Amino acid sequence: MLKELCALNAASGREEAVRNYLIAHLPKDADYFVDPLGSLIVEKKGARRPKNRVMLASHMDEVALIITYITDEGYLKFDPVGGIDSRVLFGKRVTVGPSALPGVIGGKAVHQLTKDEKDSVLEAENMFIDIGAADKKEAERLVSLGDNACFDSEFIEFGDGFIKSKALDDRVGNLIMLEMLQKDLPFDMTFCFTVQEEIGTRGAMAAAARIAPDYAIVIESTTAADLPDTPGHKQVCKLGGGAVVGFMDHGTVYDRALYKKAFQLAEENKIACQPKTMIAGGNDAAAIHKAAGGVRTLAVSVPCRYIHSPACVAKKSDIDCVAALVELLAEAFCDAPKD
Amino acid sequence: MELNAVLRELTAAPGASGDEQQIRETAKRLLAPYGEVCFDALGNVVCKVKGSGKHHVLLDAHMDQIGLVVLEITPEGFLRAAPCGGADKRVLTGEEVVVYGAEALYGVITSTPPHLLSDADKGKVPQSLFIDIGLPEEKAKTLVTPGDRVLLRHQFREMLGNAVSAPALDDRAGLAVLLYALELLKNANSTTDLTVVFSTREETTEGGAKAASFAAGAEECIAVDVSFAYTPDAKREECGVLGKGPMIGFAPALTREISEQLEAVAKENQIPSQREIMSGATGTNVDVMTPQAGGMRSGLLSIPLRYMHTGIEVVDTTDIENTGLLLAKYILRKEEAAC
Repeated sequence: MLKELCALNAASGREEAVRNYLIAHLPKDADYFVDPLGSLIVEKKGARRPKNRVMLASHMDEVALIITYITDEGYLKFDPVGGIDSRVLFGKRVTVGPSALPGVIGGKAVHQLTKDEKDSVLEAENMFIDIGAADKKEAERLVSLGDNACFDSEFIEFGDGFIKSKALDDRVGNLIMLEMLQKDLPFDMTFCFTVQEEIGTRGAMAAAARIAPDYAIVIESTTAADLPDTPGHKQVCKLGGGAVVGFMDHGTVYDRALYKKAFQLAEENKIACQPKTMIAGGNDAAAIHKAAGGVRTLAVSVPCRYIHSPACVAKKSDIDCVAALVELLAEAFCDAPKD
Repeated sequence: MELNAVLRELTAAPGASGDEQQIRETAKRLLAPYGEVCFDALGNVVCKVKGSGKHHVLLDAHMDQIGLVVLEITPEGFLRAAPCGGADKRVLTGEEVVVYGAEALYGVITSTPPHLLSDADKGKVPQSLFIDIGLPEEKAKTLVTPGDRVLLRHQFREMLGNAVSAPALDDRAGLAVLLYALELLKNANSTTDLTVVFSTREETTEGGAKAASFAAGAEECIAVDVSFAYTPDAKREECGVLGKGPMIGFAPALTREISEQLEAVAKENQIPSQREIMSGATGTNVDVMTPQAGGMRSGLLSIPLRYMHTGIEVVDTTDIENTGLLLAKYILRKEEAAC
């Protein structure tokens, strides 16, 4: 199922494919609603009515490119949609537009570069996509300005329980919520699959205001830099270290009590859990915790190497840890005494 | 000859420079219908195609491809690697690879998240290469040994028109040209003996072609390689054009008469062609072949190719057909001239 979810293309603002897939896989006893921005809001009844309204959130969109111009020679110029490091674009494969035309991002040969050019990162604005079009006319027949290009990178399992794909950020979150929806829940809960996270958590802002939950759990994937050339204090979190729970990032100062609760539940239930050891990044929590008069919010993430690149790498056991911890947290928040 | 199928097969067979065992078997099988095939001391595949012996021409294309070589296994289980051949380091960040250890292992070249880079490293192409194979050190050491080769992961894609994209089209497209020419010559009762060499180690030392041409005893040699096709960021005077036919080499290191004959044959047969002007040696195998065994007259045909030494090399298959056709017509014209 994760493989199918990752194969879908859903640039920010163009999340239909993922939303339709999720709707098709919802259990019969869930009610859903698509809000005006396109977020999918699913209500599912549990065994009991909760003391607090709890919302789970994961975003459907992925980082991608948008076609801004077609050159006379039939090459496509583009801008990134969401934060993409230029270094991971050059030399990569993409699919363009609704018909998923194969394209490549390249440039002149290494033999033709000056020493400086060889060692310098080419910025996205100086790159182009080649679809093999003979000229502008042929390209225009198949590509419209505003079409998206997505990474062409299939789902692969490798090594010791590792997976690689595009869009693991945040299809792992979608998957965890979709699987939770298939189960009998202890309490009524709201599942929100948001749009436009990658361009500034816009979908979550609207959805959280509408749902006005008491508590929210954002299920994400987060940067892991557990790499041989990165010193320990910059590694952020580690694959195989379990669910990542942060106390602070660039968008949110997380609720201290909820943060402690996560580690307490993880320990009691022997679920691997690790803090995020760097104040970096951000996610839908940034919009949610400030919405609707304030929402007590926590983010639980799957550690992910090479995030926002065609080849994101995660570990299956970490996804299981996040799923288990989120279920426990959601139940605890539903049942928490009113302040 | 189903050209796309042959290209797909040729580009899928692994053969990093100096480690050509697998592509060699594919080459042997594809050459077998045309003559007696053997391997020499450096692993070159040599096919003797009998004519009636009036002339003896050596045809060469190299079967090795650029890649990486494993230097060591780190305590974290990552592989530290170095280029094997002139890889374009700009494309390696976040690139998918296959490590040819005790078994073929999937891997991803690491990329440090941009916000964790020092200011000095920002905008710089990373100089150290680490490969993530998702294995702990002990397990990695049972499967990978320093010296094992690594290739950019194979993916063959058909683009618009006749453009195809894959790694190793440099110079598997050249092998396809020679196979295409041999097919055309099959029933032509040629009076020219051919020694067809699919050579090793071009990308590192040009050692294969040097050894093979010493042994061939031919009076003339023609190498088929790839050369730069224009892209919008390149200088027009340094490039050929994709789809405009074979690039006929004109260089001080080549025999001008052969260059001119090749061009005349193209004109007579209405085969599109373009001149490639070089000011000294050619940077191809022909440079090491020409002075062997007392010296040989030499010519060079190049297939225009975009994005050389990356995983997304692009050629136009009509250029391969036209290069093969030109070569076959050139060989046959020699006979007419001799009669």
